[in-house]
Amino acid sequence: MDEMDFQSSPHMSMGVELELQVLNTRDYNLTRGAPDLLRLLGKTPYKDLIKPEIAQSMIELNSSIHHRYDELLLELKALRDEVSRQCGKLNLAVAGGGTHAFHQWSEQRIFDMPRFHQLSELYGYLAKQFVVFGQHVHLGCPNGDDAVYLVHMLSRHIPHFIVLSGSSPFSQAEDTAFHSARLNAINAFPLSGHMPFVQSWAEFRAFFERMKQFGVVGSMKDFYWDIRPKPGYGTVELRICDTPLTVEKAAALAAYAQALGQYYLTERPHQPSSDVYELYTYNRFQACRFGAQGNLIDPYTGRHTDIGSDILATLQRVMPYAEQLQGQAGLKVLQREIEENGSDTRWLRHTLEKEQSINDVVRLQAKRWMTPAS
Amino acid sequence: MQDLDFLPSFPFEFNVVALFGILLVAAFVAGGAVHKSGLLPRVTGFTLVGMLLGNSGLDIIDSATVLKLRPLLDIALGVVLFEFGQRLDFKWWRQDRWLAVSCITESILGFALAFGALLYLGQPPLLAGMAAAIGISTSPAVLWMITRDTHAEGQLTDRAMNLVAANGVIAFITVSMLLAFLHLDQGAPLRLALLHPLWVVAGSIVLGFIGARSTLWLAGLTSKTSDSRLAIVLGMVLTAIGFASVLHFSVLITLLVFGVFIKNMDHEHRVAAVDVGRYASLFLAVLFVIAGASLSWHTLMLGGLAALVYTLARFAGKFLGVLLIAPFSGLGVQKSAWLGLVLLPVSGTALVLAEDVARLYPQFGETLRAIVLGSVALLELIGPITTQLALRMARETRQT
Repeated sequence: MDEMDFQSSPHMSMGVELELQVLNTRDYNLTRGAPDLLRLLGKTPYKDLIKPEIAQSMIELNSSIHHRYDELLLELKALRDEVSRQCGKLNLAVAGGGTHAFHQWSEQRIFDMPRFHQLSELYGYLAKQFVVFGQHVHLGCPNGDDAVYLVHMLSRHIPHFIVLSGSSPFSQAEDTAFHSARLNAINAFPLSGHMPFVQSWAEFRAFFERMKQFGVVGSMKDFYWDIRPKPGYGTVELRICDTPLTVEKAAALAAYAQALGQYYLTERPHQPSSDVYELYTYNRFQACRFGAQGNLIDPYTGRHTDIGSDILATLQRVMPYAEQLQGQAGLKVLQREIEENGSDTRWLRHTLEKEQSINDVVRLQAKRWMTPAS
Repeated sequence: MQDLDFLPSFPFEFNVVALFGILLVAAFVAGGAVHKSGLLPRVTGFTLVGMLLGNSGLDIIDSATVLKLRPLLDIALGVVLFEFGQRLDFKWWRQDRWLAVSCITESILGFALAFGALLYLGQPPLLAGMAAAIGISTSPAVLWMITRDTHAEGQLTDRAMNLVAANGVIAFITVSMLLAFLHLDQGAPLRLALLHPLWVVAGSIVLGFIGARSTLWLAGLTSKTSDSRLAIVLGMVLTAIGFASVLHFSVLITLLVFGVFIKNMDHEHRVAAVDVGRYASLFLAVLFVIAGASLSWHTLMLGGLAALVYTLARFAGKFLGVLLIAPFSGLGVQKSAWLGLVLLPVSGTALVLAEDVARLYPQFGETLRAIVLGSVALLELIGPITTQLALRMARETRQT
């Protein structure tokens, strides 16, 4: 079997990966706790769902494959509780958030695995600066052509996911003025950005083979695109989101992606157009920098609007599909947040204003992640 | 005023400030050279400088010098113990009870084996008990310097800090309690025998508590963003060190419990991120030089077999104590073995404890010092190396 054979997945099944910060409980800096934490978690029923990541101060939670938002949420909560329990034994904490607020990247240590050492060798300091924390959402697709179509369609909504998940205003103890500073760390990589404008899975395969022949990539893993097809899983993988500050938000983001996917593959409202990519970096930057207040130019109509309003309009449009999939509760979480002008980034800034200490921000961020919402 | 009275008299005496400065420079020049070799920890360099300048070498540092420097050494140990006290996080003990259990087993087993071994060698019970009680503590200074120098971080490091803080509390209090028996043994009146340990232990704890309460209160008056919190904490630590010695309490107990109270009472996280430990390295370097200076073949010989057996028995107890609990704790067996090794070093604190007892009863103190100093002589060079090795093997040091 070829790694580029697209494995068919049940239509609009979904899965979530969450990269988490591993912290000490003294000053709440990142700490090399992942190996010990993973060893303890290896003795729990969730051992297959929790993985190492490039840095020793990072772990990744993976959900199973789900069809419904409420089931996904339930599992993420159980995972969160187990991780929190094991953290207690090691005097560690974990937190969401796209960046660590005050960690100095030069102190980062790379996880002792061959692939991670290769990355470190290749990318130098970028590999250490890459210690940012994201959420990936996988959407099951029946075939490669659908996956390619969906990637193009979801590209229009990249700013939405940046705004909704944004939780990284701080970097190296500075307020970056960005809604999501995490994405700036990713932009530096040569293979970041978006998939080229191909129209079918066959075309995509040809592109991939060319790149492989040139020696630019070895596998699909080497593309750090915001959205990429993942033939091995039979999914489209949305990689743009910051890890939010709560699992509830993480599940809601997945529900939104699922509803969008359902909408596009059912209605097919647009033909794929390369116009999406002409405005791609502009819209993406607006979202990263200004959040919901950022300007969005609709590539299909040319209309200007603020991203917040565009999100609310889209939520309205896809709500019937969310209802089909029983994910409307998740969409309402997001809707409420936009209407109330809230966001994780805003919460972080507000917390700093109140506490006057960046260490306390991370402490409360960890508390927010680890404590079940009442 | 006569003609040339403005000139200093000759031979001039180094004052304590100049002496401290010279030792500091010497320590870091040599320490840096040793460290550069990549094999030995910097602390070993400090000790070697001490041995060179001490009575087995050039004989520049004698006991009079040590006495002069004592206040600065109190600062060094005080600041470090304060930092260690803050690692004794009872919340962690509640969440991993096996950590508390391993602390108790390693302390008890280390004590019991060292005590038994000395009895077996024919030492009187009180002496054996006092030496074994001193041996409950692991050198906080060594662990501190090594973890800072190697940027060690992880479960082994955190647990070692926690255990060393806890075994310090147990050791210091046990030694003070044993003072009662020592007084009685030496024919002192019962009232003295009871009141002296009580004064030292209770006084130190109360002072540590008052220090913690007032530090938290004072920190609350200032903004979190300013540097004033660091100054307040450091100032209060120095004040506590000063008061403890003026009031004849134990500087060791006071500062350690000061740290423990701060950690466990700081519910609003007022000083949680304040790092006074970074200033400790300078003072500690001189402490290691002084400790090195007090070592010689002579001390090693004086301690003789008793010191050797005491050292081995103590280590066996601590190592077993940690390893027995390993299957239940969050650390795993392999790392637990490395943790056992990290508990090996004895250094400055043991010297201070032995000196304090020797000052009260010189005759009794002589044998005690011989054993403890002998053990320090054995471990002063080996201890830091094994600690660094253990942290490296556990992959908790920064890659070089």
